Amino acid sequence: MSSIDPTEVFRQEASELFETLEGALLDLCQRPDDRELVDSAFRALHTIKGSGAMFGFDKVAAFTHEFETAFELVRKG
Amino acid sequence: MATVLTVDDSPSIRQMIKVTLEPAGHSVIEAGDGAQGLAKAQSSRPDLVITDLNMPTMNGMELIRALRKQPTLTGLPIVFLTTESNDALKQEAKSAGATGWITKPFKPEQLLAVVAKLVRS
Repeated sequence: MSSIDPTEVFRQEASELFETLEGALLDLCQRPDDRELVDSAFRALHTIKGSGAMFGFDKVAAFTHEFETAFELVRKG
Repeated sequence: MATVLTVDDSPSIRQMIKVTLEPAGHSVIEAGDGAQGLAKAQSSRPDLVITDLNMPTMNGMELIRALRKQPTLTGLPIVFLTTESNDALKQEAKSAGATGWITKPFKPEQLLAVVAKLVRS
């Protein structure tokens, strides 16, 4: 397990996070007040940002940072 | 050599910690959220805990408060590893009982230095 390149793990993880994010955002169109959906979208964004920066995906991290900042306003109502 | 518990909901971060610390002779235990981290800290008695802040089920701040209530884990060093660099949060972490704070992205050498500093061999 420890010989696996963390960047590869991140690629796999990011594609799952994008699916989670997409699902949560689409469901939010139907249920805009669902707290769990908001939190799940937020957590996906936050992890893409943090781990993206970690593995040198700076543009992804910068874009997600803006997205997260905007979404934070939604989360705080 | 130390046993380090990494608590993060991001598998790539846990993997990064593993590939950094294991070649240096440390053993790494993984947990995906605060609740799992608490259980593994109790069962495996690590020498150091490195935890994320934002996680599902139990976040890093709640984990630190819970760990500090464990009489068997007195003196256990706990370090935050997070994208946050907000001073108010750092202060809250300190009051909760955090030993240190590392901001993502981090360099492997930084992590090794923190382990060397906080774990007495």
